[in-house]
Amino acid sequence: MIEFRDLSFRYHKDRMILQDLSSSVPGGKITALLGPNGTGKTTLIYCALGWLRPLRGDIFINGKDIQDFSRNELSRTLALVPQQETIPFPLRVIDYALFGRAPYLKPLESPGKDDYQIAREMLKRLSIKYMENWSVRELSGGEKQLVLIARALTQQPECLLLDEPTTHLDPANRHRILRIMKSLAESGKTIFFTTHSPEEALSVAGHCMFLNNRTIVSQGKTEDILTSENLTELYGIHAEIEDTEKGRTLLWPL
Amino acid sequence: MALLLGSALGAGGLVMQTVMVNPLVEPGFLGVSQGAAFGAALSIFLWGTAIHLIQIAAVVFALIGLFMSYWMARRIHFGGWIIRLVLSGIIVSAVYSAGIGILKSFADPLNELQEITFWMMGGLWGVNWQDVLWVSPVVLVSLFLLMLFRWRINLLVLDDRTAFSLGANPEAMKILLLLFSVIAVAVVTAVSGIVGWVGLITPHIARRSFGADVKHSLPAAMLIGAGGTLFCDNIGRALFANEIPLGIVTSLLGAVAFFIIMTKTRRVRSD
Repeated sequence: MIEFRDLSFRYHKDRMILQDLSSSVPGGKITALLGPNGTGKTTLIYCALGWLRPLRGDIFINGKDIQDFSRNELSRTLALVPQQETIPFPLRVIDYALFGRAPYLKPLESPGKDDYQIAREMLKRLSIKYMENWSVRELSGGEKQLVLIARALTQQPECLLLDEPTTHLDPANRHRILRIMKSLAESGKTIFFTTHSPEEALSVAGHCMFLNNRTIVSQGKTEDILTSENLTELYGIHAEIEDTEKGRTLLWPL
Repeated sequence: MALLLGSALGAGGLVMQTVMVNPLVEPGFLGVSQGAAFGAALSIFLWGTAIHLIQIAAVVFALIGLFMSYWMARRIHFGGWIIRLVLSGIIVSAVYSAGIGILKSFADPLNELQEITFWMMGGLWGVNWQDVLWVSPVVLVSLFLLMLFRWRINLLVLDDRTAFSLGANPEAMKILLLLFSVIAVAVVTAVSGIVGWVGLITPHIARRSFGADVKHSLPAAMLIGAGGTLFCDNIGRALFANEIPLGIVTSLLGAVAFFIIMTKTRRVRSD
């Protein structure tokens, strides 16, 4: 679905963030991107989105070079759920979700009946239809994350890019978001998300990538690459993975 | 004229607050108001009270103010794009106010100084139908263009990256919208002088009453601005035998209204 080929990126001349990175995100599955703070996970996401232009290398989406996409076409294919979003004005949840229709509308057009219907459908799909008329400023962290996802789904994309979707959530809300990601993947969407929690990768992601030292150091099926050795190397602290009767568990020092 | 002035200020204020994602901004930011005032003062100082010269000078210097702010914002290496714009707006405004101060201190206290001071208070007593004829096409065209864009303006309250992910081009849109609103505001300011508070407060009233969706709040801000300004102008004219300048009435009523709005408890999830 998304393919990075020999990608290099830097913000400043003296510091390379990504170097000769090659990797691919398989379609219709959940892929987790793990790596220490500051290694460029978010940078990689924003390269895929087209917001950041790589210094060298190419990005292909469904086999087509990202530079050959029109802006609206790309927005109908990829949707972003950013790490955080502050909206200072009291927009209603439904109005916010409708922003997802922007890539389908002409520059001077306003959303019509069909657009409202699609936005409402997505709220319903996430079981948050009852929030429709709430102000986005009054939402809790968990509610807000759901609303962001609803907006992204309203774009009707093939692929969702989520930047640390569970970082600020309590365990119940985290569970809820992970379930939703799983059901979206089951309905055929491609999910690419960054996380600091290997446990999340273990529980929902079929595919996993480790980003460290400017490149993808290992990738593949989660069960193959999420090993004690790999995690210990990635984060530099001793991690242990044990197969128990309740499934795989991860032990590490706190 | 009060209607044109009010709707331009209301719309300009709403667009600027949305574009800058800051509910405390008003159209006078970016050096526009102070630029217009400086232009007018300069023209009064150099050429006396010729109305048309004052207006032209005001528009020219307001636009210079905008371009200076924009140029400086590109050069400042600090913070995001909006912070840089606001910072450079403050710098430009400060330079202009200093210029106004200098002009005032050199002005002939018997007529030029009076004229400058009165112009700065803002008022519509000197306006004739010819001015309206001259101002209205510019204002109406700018406002019409803003209205056409009204739903898409919404996207700018999002983070630039999110707006980009929705297929928008946030930088270009911001510049375009700022240009439209500044032109509308500069042209009316040139005729009426500095009328404060309308541009700050109408957007708040519009959002409170018609929701934060720009699609509804933009036309609302225009109407509320127009109505409010007309009301203030009438009060200023009718209350006492000699006219109180409009800028003073709007400041007074605006400040009171702002206080009331800001202290009123917000309804929480009542629907």
